[in-house]
Amino acid sequence: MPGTAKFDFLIKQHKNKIYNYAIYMMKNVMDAEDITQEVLIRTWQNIDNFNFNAAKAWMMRTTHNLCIDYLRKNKISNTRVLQVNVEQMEEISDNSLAGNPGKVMIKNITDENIKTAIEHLPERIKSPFVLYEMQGFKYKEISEILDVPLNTVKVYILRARKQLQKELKVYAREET
Amino acid sequence: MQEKKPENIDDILLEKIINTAYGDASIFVRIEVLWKASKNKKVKAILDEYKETAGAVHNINKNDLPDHVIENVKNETDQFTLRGKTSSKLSLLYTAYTNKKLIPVAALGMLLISIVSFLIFKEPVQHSKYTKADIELAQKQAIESLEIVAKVLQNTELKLDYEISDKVSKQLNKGLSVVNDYVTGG
Repeated sequence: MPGTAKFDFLIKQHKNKIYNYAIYMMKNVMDAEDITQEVLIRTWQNIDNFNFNAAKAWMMRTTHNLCIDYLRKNKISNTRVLQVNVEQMEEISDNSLAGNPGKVMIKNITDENIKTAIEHLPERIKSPFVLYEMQGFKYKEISEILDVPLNTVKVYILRARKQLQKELKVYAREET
Repeated sequence: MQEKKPENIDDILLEKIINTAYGDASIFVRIEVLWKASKNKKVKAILDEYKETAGAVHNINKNDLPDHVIENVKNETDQFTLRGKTSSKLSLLYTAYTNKKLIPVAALGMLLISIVSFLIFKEPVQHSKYTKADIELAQKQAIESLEIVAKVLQNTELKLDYEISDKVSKQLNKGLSVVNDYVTGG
């Protein structure tokens, strides 16, 4: 396949995956757009150098590395929109799991709530979670993209799921 | 912070519940969790909570990359391509130019080599020792040697012309006419 056709195909296939991943990592659309643009340009520049089958992993790894670079350079503070109160969390855990689970049952989770909750996950567990749950990557692919062992990926995803559940309970509690 | 779990639900069971809720547990684990959920309200409640979250996560609307980003990328890559094409065209032109000039350059090189070697191997010039007649003779010899080189080149060219255009082409024509005869049945 010629370079241009190959590039167009790759753009079509992966542009939104890159963009969405960048949004969750950067927590803002502007930076996500910049990163996506940079990744696509780098893809074009290296179009003849990488294996077509490995292109997806290469692009996502580049995206991840660029996000990390941006975060380090810009020193984006991880100020949380919703500060999770530790005491509140403990109380919720006690009530929800041991006592009366229905009392703090998460109802009507909105897209915005869940997006914000995901955005606020710690980066280390957010990356594999977003790649697995939202982008549909497999454990092995995530392990290659993030350069971490396969079992670590599984552990991070589990932690992210638990953490997300806690965060959403805080939202549910605030709304009631 | 250590997360507190309800009684009878250990880490392993909680992991199984979560995996079942998110849909990536094995069939046996799923059966086990569903069976326990039917027996234990706490298990069921946790499973339902996680299921709802998992459903919400999986159904999140994805953002589409704005068109202007793609346009920017296209502009950048077009410039990149243009630069690449320009440089490749220039290199092609240069190659063509050098190829066209290859024979004259080779001839010129040979002439230069012959002149240089003539000057090197010739006895050092000692103006005071040579008369005007000697100098004229040397010049004549130089011209003669250059003529010899030119003649050799010319002969080579003629021979090549003859070999390729005459002998080879004649043989090819003969061969082709045989093939033609065979094909047309003549």
